[in-house]
Amino acid sequence: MNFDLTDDQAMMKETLDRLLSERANFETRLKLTQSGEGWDRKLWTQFAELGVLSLPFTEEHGGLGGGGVETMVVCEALGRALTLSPFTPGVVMVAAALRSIDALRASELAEAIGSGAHIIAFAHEEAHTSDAAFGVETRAERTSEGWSLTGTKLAAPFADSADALIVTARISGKGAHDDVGVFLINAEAAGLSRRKLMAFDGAPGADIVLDNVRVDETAALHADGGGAELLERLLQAAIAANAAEAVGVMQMLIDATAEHLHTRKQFGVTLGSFQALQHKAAEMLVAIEQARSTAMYAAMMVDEPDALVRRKAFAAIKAETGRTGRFVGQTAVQLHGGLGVSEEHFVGWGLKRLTMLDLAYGDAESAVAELAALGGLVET
Amino acid sequence: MSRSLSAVDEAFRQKAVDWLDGHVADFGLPAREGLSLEQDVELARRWQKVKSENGYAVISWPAPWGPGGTVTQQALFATEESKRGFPAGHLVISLGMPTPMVLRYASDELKERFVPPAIRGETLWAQLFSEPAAGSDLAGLRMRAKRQGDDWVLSGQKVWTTLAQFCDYGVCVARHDPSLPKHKGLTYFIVDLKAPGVTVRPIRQLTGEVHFNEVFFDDVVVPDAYRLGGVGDGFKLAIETLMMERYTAAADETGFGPTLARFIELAAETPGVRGETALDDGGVRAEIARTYALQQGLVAIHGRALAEMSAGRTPGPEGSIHKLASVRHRQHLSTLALDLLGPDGLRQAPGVNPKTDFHYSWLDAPTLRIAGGTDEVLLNTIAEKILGLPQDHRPDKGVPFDEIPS
Ligand SMILES: Cc1cc2nc3c(=O)[nH]c(=O)nc-3n(C[C@H](O)[C@H](O)[C@H](O)COP(=O)(O)OP(=O)(O)OC[C@H]3O[C@@H](n4cnc5c(N)ncnc54)[C@H](O)[C@@H]3O)c2cc1C
Repeated sequence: MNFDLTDDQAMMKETLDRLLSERANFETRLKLTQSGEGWDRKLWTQFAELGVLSLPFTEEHGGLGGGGVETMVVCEALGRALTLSPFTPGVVMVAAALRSIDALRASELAEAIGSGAHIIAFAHEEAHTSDAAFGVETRAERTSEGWSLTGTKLAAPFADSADALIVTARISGKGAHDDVGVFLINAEAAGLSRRKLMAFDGAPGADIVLDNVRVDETAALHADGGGAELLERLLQAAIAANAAEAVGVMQMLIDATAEHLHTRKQFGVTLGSFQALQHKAAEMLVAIEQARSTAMYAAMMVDEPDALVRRKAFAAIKAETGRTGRFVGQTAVQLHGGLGVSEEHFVGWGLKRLTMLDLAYGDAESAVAELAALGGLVET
Repeated sequence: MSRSLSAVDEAFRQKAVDWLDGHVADFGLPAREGLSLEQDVELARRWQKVKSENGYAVISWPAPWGPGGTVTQQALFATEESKRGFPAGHLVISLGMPTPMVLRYASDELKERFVPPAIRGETLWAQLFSEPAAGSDLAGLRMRAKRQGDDWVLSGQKVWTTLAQFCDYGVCVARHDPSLPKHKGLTYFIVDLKAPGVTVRPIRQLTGEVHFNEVFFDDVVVPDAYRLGGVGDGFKLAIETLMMERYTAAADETGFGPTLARFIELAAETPGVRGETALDDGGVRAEIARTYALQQGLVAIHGRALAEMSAGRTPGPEGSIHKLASVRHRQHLSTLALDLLGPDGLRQAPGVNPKTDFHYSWLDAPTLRIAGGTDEVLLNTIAEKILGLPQDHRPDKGVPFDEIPS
């Protein structure tokens, strides 16, 4: 494995970091969470101009043909700046979803997204399930023209701003637990209603009720019988993106904490002179380096052909990112004292963001259970 | 130590339980659902008044202030009250630290003026110690108190002042003489938060609630009669206040989070990864057992502290130990609950309660590891005071405050 960024990747990283530090500082983020849509469409247009929104689409579809590493570079930059944007659902996951559809339509979608004009959100999460992938009760019934979808999706990030939604639904009449389809639905479709909400980390989203939403045949993004595989791919793409974003948030937190330990004085000395705190900061560094390696591993594994190997890898990635993120987030807050628990300081927002990333598409504890259940870890 | 109560205490508890049950609908958890913080504080004031009219306010305080009950009875009442979700927490500071300090140190005239309305919940009191440059290192505070005839003039800034936006008065430490070493130049005052020159700016917390504030003093005139203790006794009195705080903060084995029963309920409602519900999961069951064991220990340590207090002695490190263990564990348990709940509940919602809502409990837990003495400071105190280990190097000790480089 080669972990060095190529020149192009390094340039992308530098350009994005510069743009985000100019355009997406913490004050902007606070303002965004207090008014309007909750994220910055102008910044999104600038992403489009830089090609960021075309990055993961294949060249065949008119994209830039970026892979896991390119996505990682972007998501890490977004995390470091604590920038809220629909990049993961609206670009990374869509790119993963276009694999199995008609090339012309894929190109049209890739172009619409790449231009920044078309926003897609992912509506998957439902109430009360232990199965982050297939715990889907929304139903898709066959109709003469295509499908009819009914169900409730909870807290889909950026869904209130989206033009279209990728919705998962259980295929009626089939029995297996993974008989789930993946559908692309116009957000204004008849029978679809959205209720806007804000997550704890300030990210906008919506609950979605689908009441007999009728769509045609082309809404199904999965090939017949291939829904489960496609859904897994989508979730894995998201987990890899979230792992990278989490590394960015953690890096920001450790930088801020180190800076705080260098500058804040109590008892006539800098906080950093207390060895108890030095050790905490050092443990943060240990954790983030583990998280970074995990995110790199994730970037490589999105393209792994063997489904079982991939599944195990992503359970491990989820567990590790969750564990390290919690530790780094909580420790950063603790070492900032009162500032850490104040909404006016960015450190607490970092902890909240890490928690959202940790809990999206399954949690660390369940990932550990899944990893154990997948077997093959111990010889029997 | 015996956990069974004396007949007198048991009778007291039973009577209190009946009385509390009769008020749950009006003041307990059901009455608080969906209230804003402001409305909840208002409810807490009214609740305090009802308690004071029925002999349940400041139970252990001697006449004429309280009904002269025991510390044990006060703790029993608080436990039952907290179980039913009454809003007593908003008065924990007001009646827990500032008012007792007024009782200990103010003139009879001021006691008569200030204490009864505080007991009835008509006035609320804040604790104004921390400043931007002085948190753990309280003696580093910079707020100035200048003598002017019979008065003092206070100027400077306090921060993280809990509920100051609703408070009428507070206790405050300020520097009367910067040429003295840092611990020596401090004096302790009562301050009127409605006085000219006081500005309160609320600060929103991680949880989205506005629980604490910045308080600015711009030449605020304070009569010398409001000084508690001697000139220069400020640090000693502040520590005395904080010792009370550490003990108050220690009285709930859940660390002021949801109960273990609540966690079990949640696990039983959550579909399991390894079994039908999360409650069938060996990992979750082990965690419940671990929590039970830990909380039994905390109840016992609380009992030890109560016994010390009943015997008229000051509790030792029990408060610090209780706070360290209970709050850390609350954070741990809330994190596990988040795993069970998934991301859906992580949304902004007003009026949630940390005793019942695990999301809120998780968000709020870090504040308790900082407020009232951080984990690290408590550990330092244990290491230095109990284990007798040497203190860290403190180059500013004994140096005149105005010669310490900032
Ligand atoms: C919810 C909440 C309510 C509060 N309410 C009040 C109130 O009503 N009135 C009031 O006066 N104050 C209040 N406070 C303030 C509280 O007392 C301080 O936040 C606390 O003392 C820590 O100070 P600080 O925030 O300045 O952090 P700092 O003291 O700067 O500490 C930062 C970090 O350094 C660590 N640290 C500091 N010194 C040492 C050391 N010697 N060794 C090892 N580690 C060290 C700390 O543990 C912490 O992790 C409140 C705080 C919170 C969070």
